[in-house]
Amino acid sequence: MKKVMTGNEAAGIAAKLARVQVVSAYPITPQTTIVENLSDMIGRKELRARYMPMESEHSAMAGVIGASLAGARAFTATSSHGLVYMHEMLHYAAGARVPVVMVNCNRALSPPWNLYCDHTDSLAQRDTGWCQYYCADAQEVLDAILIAYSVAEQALLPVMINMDAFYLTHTSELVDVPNQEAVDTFLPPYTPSNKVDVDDPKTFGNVCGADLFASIKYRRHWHTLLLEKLWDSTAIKFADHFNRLHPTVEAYRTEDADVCVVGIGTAGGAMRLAVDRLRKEGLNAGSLRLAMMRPFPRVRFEKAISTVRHLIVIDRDVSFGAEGILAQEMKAFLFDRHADVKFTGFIAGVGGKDISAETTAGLVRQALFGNGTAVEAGTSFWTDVLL
Amino acid sequence: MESEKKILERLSDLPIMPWTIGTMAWNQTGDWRYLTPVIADKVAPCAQSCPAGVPITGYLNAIRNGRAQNGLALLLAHNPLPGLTGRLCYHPCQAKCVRRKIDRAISIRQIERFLADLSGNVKIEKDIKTNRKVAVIGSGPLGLSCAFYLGCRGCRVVVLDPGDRAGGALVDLPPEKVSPELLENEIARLVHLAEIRLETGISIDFAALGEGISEADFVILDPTGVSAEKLGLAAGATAFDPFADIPVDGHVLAVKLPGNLQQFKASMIAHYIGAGYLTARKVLDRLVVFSGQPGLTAPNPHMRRQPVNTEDIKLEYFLSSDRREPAKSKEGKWEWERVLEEAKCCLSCGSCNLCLQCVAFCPDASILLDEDETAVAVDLDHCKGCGICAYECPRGVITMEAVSS
Amino acid sequence: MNEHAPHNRELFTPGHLGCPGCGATLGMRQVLSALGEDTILVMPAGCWSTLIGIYPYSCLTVPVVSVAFASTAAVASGIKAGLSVQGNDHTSVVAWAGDGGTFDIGLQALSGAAERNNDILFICYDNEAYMNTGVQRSSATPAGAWTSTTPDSALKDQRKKNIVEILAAHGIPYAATVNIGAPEDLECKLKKAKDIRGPRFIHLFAPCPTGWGYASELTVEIARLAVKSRVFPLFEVFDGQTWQLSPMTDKIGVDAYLKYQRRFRRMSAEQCAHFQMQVDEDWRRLLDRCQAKSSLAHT
Repeated sequence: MKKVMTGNEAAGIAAKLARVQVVSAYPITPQTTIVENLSDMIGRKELRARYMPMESEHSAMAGVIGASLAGARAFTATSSHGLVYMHEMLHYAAGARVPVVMVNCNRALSPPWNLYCDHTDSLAQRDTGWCQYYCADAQEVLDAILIAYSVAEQALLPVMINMDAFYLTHTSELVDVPNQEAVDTFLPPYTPSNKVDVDDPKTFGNVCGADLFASIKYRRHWHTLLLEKLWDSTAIKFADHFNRLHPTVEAYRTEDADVCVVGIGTAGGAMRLAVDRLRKEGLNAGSLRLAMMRPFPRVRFEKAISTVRHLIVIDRDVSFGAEGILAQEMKAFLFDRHADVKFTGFIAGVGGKDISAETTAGLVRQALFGNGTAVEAGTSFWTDVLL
Repeated sequence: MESEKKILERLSDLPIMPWTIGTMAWNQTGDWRYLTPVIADKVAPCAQSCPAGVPITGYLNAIRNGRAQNGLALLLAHNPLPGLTGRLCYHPCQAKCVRRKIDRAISIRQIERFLADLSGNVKIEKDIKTNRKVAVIGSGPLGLSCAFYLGCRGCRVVVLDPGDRAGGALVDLPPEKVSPELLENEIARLVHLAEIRLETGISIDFAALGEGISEADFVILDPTGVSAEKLGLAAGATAFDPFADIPVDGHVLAVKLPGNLQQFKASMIAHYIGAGYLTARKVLDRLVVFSGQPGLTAPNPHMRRQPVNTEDIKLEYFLSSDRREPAKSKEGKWEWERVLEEAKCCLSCGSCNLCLQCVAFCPDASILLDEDETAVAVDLDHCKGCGICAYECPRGVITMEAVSS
Repeated sequence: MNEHAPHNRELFTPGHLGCPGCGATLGMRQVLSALGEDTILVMPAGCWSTLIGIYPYSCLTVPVVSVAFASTAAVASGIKAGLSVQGNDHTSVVAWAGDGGTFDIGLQALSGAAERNNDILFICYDNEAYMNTGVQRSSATPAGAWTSTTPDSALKDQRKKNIVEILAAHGIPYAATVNIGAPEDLECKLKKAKDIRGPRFIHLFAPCPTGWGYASELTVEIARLAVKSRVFPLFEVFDGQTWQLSPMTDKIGVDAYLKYQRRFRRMSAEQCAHFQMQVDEDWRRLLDRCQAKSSLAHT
């Protein structure tokens, strides 16, 4: 059934369709309507689950970890400072191997306060061991949450579904809502073989010596690397059920591209329009939207850039004193495989400034021909800044 | 849960979630220990002061556990005439009772009388059998006690008394103090338990004892059974002093009592019983020397134990209970309920009565009740030697000692 | 698991890494013995997270979940919710945190769980400082005590936080103080707490020979002295309203309690007197609360 809804509404409906059993959350703009909707669904018994109105995000994540350890399917959502406040528990969730799914609404970090889109909050969590997925539209939010539970429960690793503040969270779109029976077939109930159980009493996560610690982390690293393939295979299964494919990398006109612009989240649409415009101008342009950011989708990324001579990345985030975080990720990959590819990194749209198709095309032109308004700062270029 | 440490060889040996695979029991924290708790029963202040060395806490504990017959057996093994001591003895044990610090002493006298008056079969454990023959001349408390112990150690004992009735000096006591029936019953039980022979009205030639009772390996003269005049000896003079170990002519032993006991005093009956025990021990030692046969000496294990100090008793554990008013010595015979109630008030100083405070207070779960639930033991593989058990033992049974491994 | 099945296996094995004479390990034994095997423990950083044993081994044979320091009550609430949605309402989910994990870093999550009426039993084993990291002050450290961050040159000035009053102010159904030196009282209160639904709080006094500086054999004695001197009185609070004293022997002066412990040896006579004054003040307030309720009951 198709309905008009915001990304936040789609997230709530997805959690309901996934039949989550425990929702443990703390409100923060722009995530609030997700948990408002869920608490209402639970209140009206549309969703048979326990709603835990926690006193902080740290506790919200602690709550889903506990529920998941007890064998329940658990969900939470947060944003910005909430996510950053959870940081300790994000490490904990991944180390605990709990298959929880969290929606993060990408929002800028203060000071100064800002409620709008920025990816620094989640990208700053890239080392916590969570699988990170960035959506481009409300339909993808709904679908990705369902795929995420399947992936998480197969891998015993947590998944973070990200969406851009307001561009996605509060923008209404047409969304195809799958029926519950179909979802139940795709996503059966969570039946963990290993949970906290008085009939099988064991201690979880006590102090570990150096002899085993590295082995445990090594195995987690391998399991995290495998998430790329696991997502893609699960996404194909999802497509078999629902006829919508959500791969780890979305490539547009890259088959013969010389120059390729890369970004995440809602920038994908503007990048496609920009590519069309640049092609009209005679440039062999293409675009890549990284849906998965952790683990870095090496297989699909490498395939997509096979002809590319110049990569241009637009970061809506920054690692201060270095450059954009996507730029770092891609450079690390290119250094291994394609050190001859030319690379330009822009930092644009931080704190919510719109990245339009024209902005994107302009950045590509500046990268190629040198004329533009973005100013150089170390190894990256910033747009829309006072000097 | 496994208690062994496993050798982990591959990643798949570990669960994916960081769950444990076994307990810490393999970790022998006993290595940390400097001092080791030693659990050993000690002699209570009451028993320390008992002239007969009766393990009073032991029989009170048996009563507490509802086993009065076991209590009587234990009592009889150390004091074969409890019906008499229960009426005659001045009970120095009660003067030393630690319970006095809380309210008042346990009425050991009443309990002793209660036990003594129990009927039924009592079984006394006996030592190895020997064919040694001993004659005891005189059936006073000393002679009977000596005969009893020797009988219990397997000697073939005959008690010969020139009087018409057995009991020696006890026969002369006024009937309101000791009735003839009681005396008769007490002696009959002693004779039965120790499997000895008692003959009264026997004419004895004191001048030629050595040859006169020629079949005996040893002859003992009981000063509480036969008067010194009859013995033809000056009061206090002896042919053989058990305390001084003087050799004698033949195997005749005349027991010499300390000055204050030479004049028979009924209230000192436990002293005579104790002296009888010491005499028996001396005789047994002698018999070993003469026969070269080892293993005959069976000293009372009770006597080998360390005494417990009154200060080692943790009065904290023994809050004042609602005890009944003190028993008057004239009070009549106690019923079982009253005896049980009183026995439960015994602090059991120096004796483990399985209160299990040590088990409960061990932070390392390293003191355990053994399988048949009769004793506690230290798990030396794990005990860290913190000393809480010794400090908390209400009865001073556990001490911390430097023990080489 | 039958919720009424009596437990007959030892839930605590030797071989753990607690110091000789550790009060917190003794407390755990007593608590587990009272709660039985239908129990899940949630444990943050603290002495217990170390002494429980080295992964993959543990000295406890009930399920234990080790959690981040600040998250104890929240994880416990989550576990309870997770069990509950699967139909298990009988298993006791017990948070087991030290004073740091309760009075300090764990207080927000604990307050949250208490306010939300989450069905967890939170037990604070209080050894009055951060012992696991080497005796640093916590807000449970009493005034006048040495710790490595309140050295001899600057003994702690501030009094101990009254954690039970804080919890009672949430109106939780049950809060109580227990002491390893009063095991019968402890057992009785733990069993009572086990059968009550909603948030329950137990404040367990756990002397620490290493951090307090006394001979390890005295652990239980010090615990008893804390009760006798009213440094740690035993009481219960029902619904945050009805305060009830537990049986205690006659009150003695604090000197008997202070004298065994090296952490108090630098206290001046004035500081000792002040300590006594604070104890007396707290004791009077406690008596007032207990009596206020009983007089209300009579009107």
